[in-house]
Amino acid sequence: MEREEIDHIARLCRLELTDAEAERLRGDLERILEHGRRLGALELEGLQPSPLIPVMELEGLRADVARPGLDPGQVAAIAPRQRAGRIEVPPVAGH
Amino acid sequence: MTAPLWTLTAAESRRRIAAGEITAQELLSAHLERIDAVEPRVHAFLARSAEAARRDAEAVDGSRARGELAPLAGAVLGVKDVIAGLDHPTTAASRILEGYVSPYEATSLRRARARGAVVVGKTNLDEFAMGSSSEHSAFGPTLNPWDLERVPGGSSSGSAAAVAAGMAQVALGTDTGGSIRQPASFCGTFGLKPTYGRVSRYGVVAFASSMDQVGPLGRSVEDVARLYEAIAGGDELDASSAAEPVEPWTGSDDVRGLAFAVPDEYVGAGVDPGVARVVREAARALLDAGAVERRVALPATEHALDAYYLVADAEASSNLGRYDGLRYGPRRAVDAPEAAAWISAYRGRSFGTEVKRRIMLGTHVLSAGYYDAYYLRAMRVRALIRRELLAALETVDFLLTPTSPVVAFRLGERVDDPLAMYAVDILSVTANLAGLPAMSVPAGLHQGLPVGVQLMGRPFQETLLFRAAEALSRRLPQPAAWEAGAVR
Repeated sequence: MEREEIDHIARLCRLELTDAEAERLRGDLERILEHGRRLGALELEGLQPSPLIPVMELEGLRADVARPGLDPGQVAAIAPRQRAGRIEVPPVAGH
Repeated sequence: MTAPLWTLTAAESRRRIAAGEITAQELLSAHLERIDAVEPRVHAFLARSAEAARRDAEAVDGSRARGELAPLAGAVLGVKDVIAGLDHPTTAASRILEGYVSPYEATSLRRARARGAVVVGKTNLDEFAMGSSSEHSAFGPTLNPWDLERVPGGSSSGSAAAVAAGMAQVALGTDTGGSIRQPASFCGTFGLKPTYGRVSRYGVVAFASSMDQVGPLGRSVEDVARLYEAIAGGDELDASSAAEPVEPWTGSDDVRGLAFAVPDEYVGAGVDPGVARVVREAARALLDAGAVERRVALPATEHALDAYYLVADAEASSNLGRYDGLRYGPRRAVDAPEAAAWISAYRGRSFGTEVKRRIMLGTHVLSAGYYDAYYLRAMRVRALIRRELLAALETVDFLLTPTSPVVAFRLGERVDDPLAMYAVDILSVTANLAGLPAMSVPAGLHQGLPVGVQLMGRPFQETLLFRAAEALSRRLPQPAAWEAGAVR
């Protein structure tokens, strides 16, 4: 696995890494994926992912009826930066 | 000399509260004193609130005075810090949620409290429940009450250690790949991972949503069963919870005529011979109790760990996308010109090494060009493992295996080698991949450390596992950490 690939993955998941972290992850991911590749040799004809619980046995969706939710001020208070009951975020579109 | 109140199981203390011999407040006080004495050495808790606990214990005594006694009346409960409550922060042992107090309560916790449980605190874990030793907690590791130089297992590390050390009678944990059972095994307690969907995940910090399950830990089968009954059942706030009715525990240890198997794939290479010996002793105890042993073959087991880490990390990378530093978490001074760079920097500074490793791996296996080769293939192997296990469970009622291939290892022994750490989950991940119920039962000691055996059964047949667990617990030695371990 090349360093460029590590940087690409880090960009995809929005995770800033130090050089030391990136180097270490390069080795770790390579070793873990080597194990993952062993699955490639298995005969899996006819096997598809399936849900663990048949849908009929699920609790299912509740009635689509509006109920009181969380107080917006309370939700904003959880955020690290808030102003006047709203969540403050960095500029999305740049300068 | 009478035994201190903190040595009682929740069922014993409930009987004494019912008889008017003790109060819930006295029971709680004994535990708070025990915590003061032991917690500085064990570090099982991330947050405690004596005030909230006293309020709940007082309410239990008030009900008792009115002639009412809930099924968990007064039970002193530790809660893994991924389960949201109103009285304490919910941090998932991560810097990215440091100080976060949830505005709502998890269904499992709400149900336990409604049935009389008294919460003493939130327990430590590996960050976001990713780990098997607590060494990945951002707030320092928990130590094993049997040997303070060893890990308690993980990720429900504090829950298992608190119960084993007498700081809580019962605890809630979560289990995505063994995170209830493996620490239960390392600390000598009982621990149940219920069937997938059995317990609501509402209010639980998500790791791998198709495998995460909340479950109980305790020092007796009865305590585990009572807490399980309290929290199990459908929940309209979790559409993936199952509506299937919950059978009450009967107290039976009758395994006559039940068939079990010890699959060769679970006791072969890599399993400590001392652990394998305890499993044979457990099998002997079941045979003595009238169960019959058969053979089953589970050849896909050897691929379970490889499939598990691809599936779990893929789901984790998606679930942890929500931690952007904007909506939750502490304020940090981040210098970045726009949102994407700001979020990357915030996340980079806030997640620990193991969480970063998993987010990176999960992102990679879901990305274009790799999805089919890794993620989809792992999901198909998962289907193979489930099919094989369900077929085996048509010929036997349950499987008997080691919970972990090893006993508690030393701090630092595996933390720098992810593959060595992942290897301790090799016998527990299959139950999560297949969605089956599985329970760890203390079955003996090896080199002075607890060994748990795992019972795995058919979906929604938890009560059958309780019967087998009860049969084992009555026939095998059940020493406590304060008798034979490091926290006298």
